[in-house]
Amino acid sequence: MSEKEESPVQKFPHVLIVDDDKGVSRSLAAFLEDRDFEVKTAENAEIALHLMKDFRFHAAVIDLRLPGMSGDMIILKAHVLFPHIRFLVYTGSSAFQLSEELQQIGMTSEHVFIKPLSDLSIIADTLFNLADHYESI
Amino acid sequence: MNYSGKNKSIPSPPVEFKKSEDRFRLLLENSKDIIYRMSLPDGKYEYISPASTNIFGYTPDELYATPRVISQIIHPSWKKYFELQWENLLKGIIPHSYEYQVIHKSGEIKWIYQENTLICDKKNKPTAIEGIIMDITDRKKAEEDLRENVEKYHTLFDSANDCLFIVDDKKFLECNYMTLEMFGCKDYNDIIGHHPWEFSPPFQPDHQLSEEKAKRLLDAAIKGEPQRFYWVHSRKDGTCFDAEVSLNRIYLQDRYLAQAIVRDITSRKQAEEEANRLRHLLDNIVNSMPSVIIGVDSTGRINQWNREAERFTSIKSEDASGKKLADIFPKPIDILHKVKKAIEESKPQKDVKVPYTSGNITRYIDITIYPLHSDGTEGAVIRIDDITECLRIEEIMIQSEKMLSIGGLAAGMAHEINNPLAAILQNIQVIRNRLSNQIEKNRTAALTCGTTIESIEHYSIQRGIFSMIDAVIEAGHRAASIVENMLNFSRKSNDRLAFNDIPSLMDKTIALVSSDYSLKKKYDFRQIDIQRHYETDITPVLCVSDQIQQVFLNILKNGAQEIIEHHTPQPAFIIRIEKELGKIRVEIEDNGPGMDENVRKRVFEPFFTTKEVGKGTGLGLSVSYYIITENHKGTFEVESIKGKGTKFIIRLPIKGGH
Repeated sequence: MSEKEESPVQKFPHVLIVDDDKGVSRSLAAFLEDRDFEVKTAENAEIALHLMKDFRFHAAVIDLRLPGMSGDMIILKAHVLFPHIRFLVYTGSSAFQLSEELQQIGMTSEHVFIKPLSDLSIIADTLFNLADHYESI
Repeated sequence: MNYSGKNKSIPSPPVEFKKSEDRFRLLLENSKDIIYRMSLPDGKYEYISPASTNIFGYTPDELYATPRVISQIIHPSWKKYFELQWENLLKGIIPHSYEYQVIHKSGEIKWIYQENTLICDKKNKPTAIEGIIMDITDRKKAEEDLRENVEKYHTLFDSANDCLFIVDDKKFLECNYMTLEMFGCKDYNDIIGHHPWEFSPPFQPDHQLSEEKAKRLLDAAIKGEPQRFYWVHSRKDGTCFDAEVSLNRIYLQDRYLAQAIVRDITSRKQAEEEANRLRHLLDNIVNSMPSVIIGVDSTGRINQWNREAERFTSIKSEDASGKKLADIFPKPIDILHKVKKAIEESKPQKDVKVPYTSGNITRYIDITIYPLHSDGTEGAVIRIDDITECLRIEEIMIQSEKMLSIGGLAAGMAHEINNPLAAILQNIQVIRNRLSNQIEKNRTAALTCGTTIESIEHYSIQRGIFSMIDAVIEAGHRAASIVENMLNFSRKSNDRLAFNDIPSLMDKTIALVSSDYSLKKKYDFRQIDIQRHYETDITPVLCVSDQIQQVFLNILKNGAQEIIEHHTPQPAFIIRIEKELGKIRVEIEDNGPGMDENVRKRVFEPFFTTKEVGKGTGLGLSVSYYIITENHKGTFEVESIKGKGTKFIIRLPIKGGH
């Protein structure tokens, strides 16, 4: 932890949360902010893609079932437009399985989280690791 | 020789000669036969003795007076013969005797035997005929009768359809025509003088030598014990035929012989064999039916009781046959009036899903009664099918469908419930975090508000805020786990078949049970000693890993609950995974309370549970059974001894059932 404090970029990853359920997105944002993440939230694809254009996010946490464009479509689209962003899926559907397209852009089951999580720390930790990975590239 | 006619004047002889002549005359006069002398060629009787009165019905005087009478008394059918004889006679040709018929004066026809002596002069010219005429009518009749008799018996003998022959202890002495025919011979000499065993194959079907056996049977018959037996004969060309032989002793020509009757029973034998074959075939068909099949006649007497009926009723066919259905059929099943109805109305009767309790086990049966009426033999056939298994499968299917629909519902609801649950749990986690004195932001915010984070913490503890937060977390987790469990029912559509390593599936399941927090409150799975006996090199099995884990989980959970509830000392599971031909056998054995036979038999039934109400759905093992037997085409068995423990045995085909 003390090592990470030396690098402000690593210490405060910039994260976008896309979820139409504000109870979920805001509490997750609050949790991450308490850990010094820079967090923005969006409730649909349109807002999300706007924010991605305006801010430089390290990573995005995406709900799947959204009004309008679905979460996995957002990921595929955003990956083309903003290839540096890493994605996590955070869904209430326990039957979710990664599509081949998502696997092709490097997503694995480690990047999938099923709601509800009993401890959000696991998302925070994964986001930290993704940011490390991103910086090392 | 000089006989004198009565009317002739004979010179007086000397006295001695006179005496002698009187004696002769007396002899002639008293003879029963006619003695005569006829002069030739005039055909006049010089002498004819008085017996003519008896034999011809004419006195000698009548014949002397009209010699032609003699030609009138000759039977018309002999007249031609005598005309010819007369001509020959005049030429000096005469047979030693005649045998012919005459008509007595009374009209009676008589047979006559006449001996002739021709008297000739020195020039060899016939001058007279002398002879004796006898009445042989009685003898002739006796002869005729005898001839007729012989003919009659011969016809009887030869026209018989069976072989008739006479044998001594080793040879044919006499045989009828049928014997020739049956043995394929053309000449009596092919048979007479031969041995009976020459017309037999070397061995009889009972493997006895034909010769020895035949001799023994003939001996016995000749000793006076009539024999009747089955015999294989052979014809002259060597082909065989089945025969029925009877031997009887007869007494003939001063010795005991055997008279034999041989009947060709080939066609009877074939018919018998065909009937036997048909009966066996029908028996086989009826016996191999998986249904109980019982035949009754119109009076309700049993005439058919197949193997399944034996199994179903525990009554042997021999014990049932001929008995009244009412006396023998298990009382709980009321079929008597149905049988009656079927016969009376000539309509099949059917009862479905009839519960039938034997001991304390209830089974379900379908009863169908078909009336029979072919060539006047009335009756009925009762067919009973045990449909318990079908019903069980049907129920499992229904349950499985129910569960699938629960699953579908759960899957749809999960997302909707999981989102608010996530909101609850996430927010409460943030609240908990924001009451913590470990976070700098909290400290700063507290100071800004004119207090300290320590005061807020102190306050929260005082007012029970933290335990309330914990209660919310706990409730949220519980709700999450309910949703998760419901989703377990819906896995099917996403299940993928893969080659899985059974031992590692088992290990994962054990790990899962050990950490099952909802059970932790009642017992600690880690108290139970788990002994793993895994054979090495277990081939991976084509299966759906989730389903197999679900099955293992079910057995382990059930077993653990029983073990803990009954406070089994030194609780243990012995888990064996072994190779079998083309299969992997998994045994999960516990040393818990076990179960009795009734529970053991029903343990896979849906909604059968020994747990108190609300503690178990009674579905776990039936779903497991379904998963193993239907989805994976494996087998699932349970062995148990009350008080000793329970062993579940699962066999999974390596190549899977899909």
